[in-house]
Amino acid sequence: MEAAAEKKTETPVSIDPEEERRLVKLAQGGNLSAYDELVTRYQQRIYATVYHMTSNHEDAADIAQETFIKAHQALKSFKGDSSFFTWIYRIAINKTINFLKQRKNKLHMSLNDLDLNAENDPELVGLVSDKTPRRDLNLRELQERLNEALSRLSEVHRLVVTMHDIQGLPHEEIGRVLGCNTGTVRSRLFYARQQLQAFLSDFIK
Amino acid sequence: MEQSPQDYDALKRFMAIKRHELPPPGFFDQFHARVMDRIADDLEEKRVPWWERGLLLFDSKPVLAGAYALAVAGLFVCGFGFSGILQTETADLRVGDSSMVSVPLLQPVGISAQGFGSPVSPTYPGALAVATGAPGQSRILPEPTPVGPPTFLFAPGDLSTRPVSDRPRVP
Repeated sequence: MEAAAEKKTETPVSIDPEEERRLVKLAQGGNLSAYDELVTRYQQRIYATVYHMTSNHEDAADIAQETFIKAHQALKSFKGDSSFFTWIYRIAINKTINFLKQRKNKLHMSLNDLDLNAENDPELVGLVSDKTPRRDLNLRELQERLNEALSRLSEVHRLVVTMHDIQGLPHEEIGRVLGCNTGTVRSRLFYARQQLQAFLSDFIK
Repeated sequence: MEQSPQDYDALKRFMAIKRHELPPPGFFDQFHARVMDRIADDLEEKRVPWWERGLLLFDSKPVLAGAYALAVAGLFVCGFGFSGILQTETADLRVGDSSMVSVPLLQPVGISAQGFGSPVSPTYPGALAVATGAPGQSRILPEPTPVGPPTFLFAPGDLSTRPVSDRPRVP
């Protein structure tokens, strides 16, 4: 119970930079096993980012797959100026934003199920009981409302919320991925949260 | 630009839902395998020569083969048509009014001491240049008149019959 009570965020996968560089070097030399290792290490984070942006499991799976294939094709051009994670994250984000622009406003949600721990998460327990004006809603309905609200944000604002508030990336890392300074990241985050609070005002006290 | 923790607390609680969303069980076990399979397929595809890839494509999509054949046939037809137009235009320029031609399309060349291909001044269209041997000089001959078949072939001549000799031919 104590473990569940801990503040749960998707903290970045800690990969030894030396180990990452070694794997990248091997993969650049044509070693598929090394690239498989990199895919295994980063697949969850890349998938999660795309999923939170699209709110659609099938789209997220396709885009994440395309991201790793594109990254493999462009691996020779990776000079190591940034970490491999930052580099592949950028590819994923560009692909996702392009996809969202093509999709425009045709939102088709295909949400993943909540894990079993959700029922026991004290934050969520409180959310559906005494803290929420709409007590009649269950977690699944709240999940749908939240995803709808997120989809109403612009791509850049949804991105910073996803990376910071859901995945727990620091402002500096987000700035590196998006190619902007931390001030811009903070201001986008502030605006995005304000928007979300407005969209979810019926459910948030 | 930072919000106070109190302002954000309720939203943060709400956002916790997103962290509990998980793909179907076993998704990530298969995901990297699918990615690697596709990469291996791509690499294999690159090893096959382009023409073989084209043939494989024709095998899988016969419509493409038909379209390709049609395109090639169309190109041939266009080529023939274009060459026909060119020939007609060239012939028109040769036999047409010489005043219409301000610049000769084909400059007559001759063989002279300077070498093959020395330009000669065209005196009139259709002139045939022949080198005389002296540098830069060439004699212009009139275009030969059209020649028909030998007249004796069609001349009736002496059509009177002759008796066949009974004597055997002397070898």
